[in-house]
Amino acid sequence: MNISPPGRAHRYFYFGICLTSRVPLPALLPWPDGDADDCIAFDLGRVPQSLPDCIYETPLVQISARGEALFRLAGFGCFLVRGGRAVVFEALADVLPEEIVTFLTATIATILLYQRDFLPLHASAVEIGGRAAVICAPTGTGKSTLAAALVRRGHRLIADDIAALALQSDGSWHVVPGGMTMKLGPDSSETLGLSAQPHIIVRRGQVKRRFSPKAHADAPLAVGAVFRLTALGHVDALQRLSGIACIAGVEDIVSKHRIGQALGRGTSQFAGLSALASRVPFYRLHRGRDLGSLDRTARVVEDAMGRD
Amino acid sequence: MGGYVFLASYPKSGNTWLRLMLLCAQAGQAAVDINGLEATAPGLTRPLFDEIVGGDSEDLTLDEIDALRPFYHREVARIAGDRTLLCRTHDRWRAADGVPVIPPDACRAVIYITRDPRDVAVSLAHYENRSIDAAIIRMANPHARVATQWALRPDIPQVQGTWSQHVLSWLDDCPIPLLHLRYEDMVSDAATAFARAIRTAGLQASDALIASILDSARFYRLRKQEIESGYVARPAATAAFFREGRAGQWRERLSADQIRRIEQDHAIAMRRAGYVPTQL
Repeated sequence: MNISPPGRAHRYFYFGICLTSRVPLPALLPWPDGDADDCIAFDLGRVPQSLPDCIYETPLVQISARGEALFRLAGFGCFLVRGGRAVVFEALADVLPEEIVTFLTATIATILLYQRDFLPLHASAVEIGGRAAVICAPTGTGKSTLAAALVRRGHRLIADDIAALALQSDGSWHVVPGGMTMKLGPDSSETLGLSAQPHIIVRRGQVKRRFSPKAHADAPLAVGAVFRLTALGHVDALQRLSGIACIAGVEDIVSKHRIGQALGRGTSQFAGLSALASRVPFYRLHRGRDLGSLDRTARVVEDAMGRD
Repeated sequence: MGGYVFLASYPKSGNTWLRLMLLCAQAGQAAVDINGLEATAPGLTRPLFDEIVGGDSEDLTLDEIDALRPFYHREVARIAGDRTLLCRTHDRWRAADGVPVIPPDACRAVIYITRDPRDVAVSLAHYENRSIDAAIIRMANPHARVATQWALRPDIPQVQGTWSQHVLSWLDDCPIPLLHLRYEDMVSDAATAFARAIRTAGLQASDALIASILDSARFYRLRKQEIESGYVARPAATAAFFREGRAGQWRERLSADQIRRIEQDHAIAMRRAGYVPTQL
């Protein structure tokens, strides 16, 4: 791995925060010129195999009573995530920088965001009319695909897969730009006509298509509406949700609900979503099974964003 | 009681039909709604898997996913407590690094459904919108899988292997108490097959409830529901999921050569599951 000397760290745009790293991290956007007063430091180093005061444990994740997290993938490597400020990675095999980025933009990001008191949603977000359309859905439903369809129609991408929500002093919620390029699987890239886009290595031997939107949102944007996407039935339908229905199935809305609970954010997840639902409309959005109707689904989102 | 009751089968063998009825019996619901209980049934799905293991299946290799499966199933069973988990799988019975991907200690029973492979070929071709010859090749492919971890569908990748591997692995290697049901017997005498499945799953259901579910689950009624409101689990390439629900279509649809190829490929497993090759 190509490692820069100390003091010559690479700087990346990572959920509005400056991520510093001696290792180049492909597919992250560079930090714009200028100082960064708040950083997350990524580095290589020794990482313990387990946490001593562990209160939550799966074969992949341990969380300590002090709020430290260890993400350990056998035969690959371990990430130690501390205080929302530092990530240390120890490779257990020959690891590509692209593979590190794969995890830095997934569970590790979710852990860092929880540690920093963000509300990370399992969602993609696109700017429509100056506000964020937040598209939540369980894995495999097509939220990134729908977001990519909206981007293709000229809207700016804010975040893909993890949308970091931050509570503002006036009680509103903003989505912080993620700063990642989109990764699209073969089904989506084919449907969107993006099969000729460059490959991106997700894991050694596994590639996706990289979709780099022409324009990313560069500043936090107020949430305009939340769309809970499902791929049911054969019609595109939009249904306004009310009351508890907005946030029923919290684990489908927030990113890694149980990890958030273990990090002491269980109550704030629920309170945050309740507060959000009291300020912005929540919709159930059924998309057709047929991906050919993506543009129609995208128009439904645009119309709803224009309505409120 | 609690624990998993797996409804295992090679694809297109009647798994969905039986599962819809059993889910109704479990919920005490008198009529099958193809988009109702199905949507909330505990499946081998990536959203739940990702939440339980704390990682993203789309970023893991198939070997890594397999290694996490035992933890996933035990954890889901623990969370479910006394609730019986009626779960469909198209995986064959298999181990990863010597450890069964489905841990027997998290399971109470398996209901294994077989269907005449000659009919499976007809149904699979329709389902995948491919030729019957392509279906026959797929059924003889030891590397055949359902889903990938990055496809636009929620399933955890599952390994089928060949139709023969699938049948023999469950019927001969699985240590969990297993009820073998044949699709053909379910079609000819649904009441008996359903009653046996209910007993194996450890569910309680009155005779009146069973009769009502059976009546609502007649194939033409399920097909009518699909036409009117769609079906959540229908792949985009498939015209209709609930199609005919008949046994023996292969006699009209397959050529002599196609029949011979299927029988040559699967003779041992066919006999094991009670199907008689006609051309060998």
